[in-house]
Amino acid sequence: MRQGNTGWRPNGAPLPRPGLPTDLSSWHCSVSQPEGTMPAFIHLFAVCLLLSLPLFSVAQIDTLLQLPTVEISETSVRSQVTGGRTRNWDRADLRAFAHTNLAEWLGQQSGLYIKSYGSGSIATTSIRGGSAAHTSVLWNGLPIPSPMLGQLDFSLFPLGFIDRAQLTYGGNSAAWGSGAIGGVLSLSNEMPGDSTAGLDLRSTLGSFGFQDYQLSGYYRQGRLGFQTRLFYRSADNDFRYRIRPDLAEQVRTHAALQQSGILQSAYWKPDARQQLSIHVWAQQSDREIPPTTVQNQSLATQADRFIRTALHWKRIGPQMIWQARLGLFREIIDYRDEQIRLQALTGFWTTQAEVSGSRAWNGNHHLQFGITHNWVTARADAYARPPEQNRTAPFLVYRYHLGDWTLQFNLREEIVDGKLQPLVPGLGLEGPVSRHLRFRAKVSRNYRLPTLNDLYWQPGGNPDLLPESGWSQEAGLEWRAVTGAHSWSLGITAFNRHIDNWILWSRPDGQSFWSSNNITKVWSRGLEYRAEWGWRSSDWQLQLSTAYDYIRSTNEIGITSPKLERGEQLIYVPEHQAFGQARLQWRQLQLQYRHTYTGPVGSLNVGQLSGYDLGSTGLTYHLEKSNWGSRLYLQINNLWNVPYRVIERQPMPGRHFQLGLQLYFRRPTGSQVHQPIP
Amino acid sequence: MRQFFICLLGSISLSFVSAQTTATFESFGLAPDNFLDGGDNSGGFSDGNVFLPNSYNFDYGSWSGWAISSMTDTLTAGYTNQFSAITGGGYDDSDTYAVTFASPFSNLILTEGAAGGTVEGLYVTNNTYAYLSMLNGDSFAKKFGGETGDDPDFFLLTIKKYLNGTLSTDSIDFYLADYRFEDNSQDYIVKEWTYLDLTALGDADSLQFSLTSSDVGQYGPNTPAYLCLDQITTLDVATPVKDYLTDVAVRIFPNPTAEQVTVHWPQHQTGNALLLDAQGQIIKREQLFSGDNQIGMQELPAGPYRIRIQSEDGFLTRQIIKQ
Repeated sequence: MRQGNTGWRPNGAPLPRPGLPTDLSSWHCSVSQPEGTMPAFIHLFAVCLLLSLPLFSVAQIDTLLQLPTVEISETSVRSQVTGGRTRNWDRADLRAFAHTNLAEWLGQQSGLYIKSYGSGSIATTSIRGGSAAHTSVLWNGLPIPSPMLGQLDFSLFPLGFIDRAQLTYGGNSAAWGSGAIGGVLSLSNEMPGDSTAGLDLRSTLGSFGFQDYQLSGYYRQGRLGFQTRLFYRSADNDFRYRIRPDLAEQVRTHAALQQSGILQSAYWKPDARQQLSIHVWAQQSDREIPPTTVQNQSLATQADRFIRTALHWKRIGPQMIWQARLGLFREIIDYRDEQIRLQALTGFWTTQAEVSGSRAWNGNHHLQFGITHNWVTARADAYARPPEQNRTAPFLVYRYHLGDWTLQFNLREEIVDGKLQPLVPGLGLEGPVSRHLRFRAKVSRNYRLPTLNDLYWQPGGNPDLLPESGWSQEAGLEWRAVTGAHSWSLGITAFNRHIDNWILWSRPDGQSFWSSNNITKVWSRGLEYRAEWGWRSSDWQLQLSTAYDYIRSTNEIGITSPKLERGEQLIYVPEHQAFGQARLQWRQLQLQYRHTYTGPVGSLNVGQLSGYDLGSTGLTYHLEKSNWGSRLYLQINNLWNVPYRVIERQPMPGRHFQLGLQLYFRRPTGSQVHQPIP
Repeated sequence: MRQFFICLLGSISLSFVSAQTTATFESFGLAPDNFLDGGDNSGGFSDGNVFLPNSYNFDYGSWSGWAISSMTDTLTAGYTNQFSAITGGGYDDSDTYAVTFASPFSNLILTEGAAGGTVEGLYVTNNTYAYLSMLNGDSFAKKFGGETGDDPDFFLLTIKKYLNGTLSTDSIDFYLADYRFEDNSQDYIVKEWTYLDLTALGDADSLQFSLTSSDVGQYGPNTPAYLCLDQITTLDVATPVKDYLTDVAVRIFPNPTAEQVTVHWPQHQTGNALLLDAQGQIIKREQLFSGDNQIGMQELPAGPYRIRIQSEDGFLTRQIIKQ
């Protein structure tokens, strides 16, 4: 017998399971300062301005700045963003953070707002004021968010399992379909191109019982290449915290986690024009769900199991480049709570297939066209029967170069179970205004399809839901220059986005249960500021970077259930965010300090959560020889031991440490350099 | 003067019959650890002179309104234990009691001789799910007192009445949990059957129960809005016996009905028929003439309704189920 529908509540249960004992728990520090005591937002903004001032006093400007991160050079026209803001990271950038998960790394390195329930707990993003389901995540070109929830738990993604990352801010549904409204995070794998064989070992220990062990090996012979990655991670997360300085210290309980996974990749070049790659990723995660600060205990656990397979074929012909992708994803979530005698087993299958062709004319015209097909099915007790969904989407990309200017037009039409969805166009333009100043602008229509839970969950699923959709615009200027040993960059971007038919779970008058409905509109707009300064000499390198985001994302229709005022900022979307980083390198030694400010956010139950400043620092010693190398690293997070909350009623750890050692061995290729296969 | 009032009260009481009826719910004959959630499509539960509406959704396998329970589990937290009272049984060691989810509210309808009369009182206690949620917190709701133990939390039961389709402004308020005391040692959550005297509400057609909690978020109250009732005592004193219509001559059929109901009115003088919904609100008012009178119900949603027949001679009330 199921519960009375009136007893059901829509704001979903959190998740996790058992961990292993560790030996560094004494490294933790308790948190006792009152919240929100540092006015560092003002300080940081002042630093942003100070960093900007020298830009306008540079006397001699020679060449364009070489970015510290490497641009992804995919041949797919669709993967290239024209008119939008992107940021790229390559293997070298990611390697230093391989012991972290995607959520921790993005929070530290990108300045993105990460909505984390705590160390190792569920984590999602909000980009440009969008919801968690408005970030599209691609793995080797295939979207991997859950079709049941429309989002991905970033804490389950080990950073050591990716080689390249590209973050595109803003909507890009015309290229990547449903969900690409706030941003697109593209993660991909490729073999190292500088050696024929290698072995990489890494071990990291940290506060609160954190342990991370990774092993990666690869081998290439002729046209074949193989790479295997393994990881094991566990943590007790039993940190201490105080509700108030005058109250007794408490210990976070029932928050242990244990994760392990394998990623097997194989590459084959049957001839000079063709390449084939396959990636199989299997992972398991067991987490305990900790109690909230207003809950005496929790016995809830969550086990996540998944296997993801991605196949990519590419043929470079004399005139056309053909590509095909095939993905097969299987995921299971087993949520249990002995305390309330609940076991909820849910899971889904996804298969995705994509074929595309592209060609160029005169070097100025590029065209890519293709079609994707996506089939999903899912199981949950709350579904009357396992729902199935078929999505087919033809797409088109046209790119035109006129001198240094680039114009790109995207078009996509998705058909879901025979129903036409909004026709989604996108138009981007970018090019140099002057020698050092580039302009870019983009306008696009974007959408998100209702999730399977929105459509079929009982009670409350609504099969008649419309997709969320709307238009977004953005424009930006980027100024870059190098003067001798100095490099400078400054960028500012403004964006605007309206999304109609925003889906919320609500309880209309006269209805005794919550149901999903297209009941509101959301207007998001904001400014993004970035500045960087770099200096290098023979032994020294110094880099300073700052960022500031102003985001207003407001509900545009007043609603009584849930209670939302017109013009009210969406919960868990900070209006102000700032980020500053200083990196100093002397020969093999690197010292890094990062500081983030996150403004106050609204919450579901307790009103506004205070804003907070967080500092973190890292020290790395990197020794590199011809065929081996080592890296010793120490990371201190929450350096100033600030008490803060990202989510209401969820404490966060105070100052904590991670210490790690990486050893790697390479067999160089000699003169023959292998081209990475994207 | 005082003697005059005593005489007056005495003469008034002589013209009425002070019959008491108590709904104990034992007549459902539930074995221990069972419940009735309306899955038999009964539309509600009648006992004594009260009717407890229930709506069961067969698509979702879920219910709203009222349930009848003999559950004894006082330990299991969460909605899987939504039918239990924290007392582990009914009032005075009885087996059976009523459970409702009163968010935003639920109604109890007075029937037979109690319709339009006074409810003398009833016993209330917390549901186990709600009790443990307030005591310990859960994934959605806070433990009362909050992080520091000092939050002035409360869980308040408000009882109002409907009479002739009008909801009263007066109410009987009772705190099922109260953490508003300066001295935290006085904070409490009710875990015994507690008697509420409802005579101050006066005559009523139905009672409305609503629960409000201090733990409210964007999605409304977080505290599970469950309530358990037992021993509902009604007084059949509101109507002089000589004036009370009997249903021997008045016939109301068919019941249940899908389209319309016929009221056979045997008297020569006209009467009135009021159709009321489960909340006691008047939906239709028809004049009755001698013979058969039809009242259309095609446009109404399925569920329990009441027809109140009244004339100069008195009134009677009957429940009608719309299919």
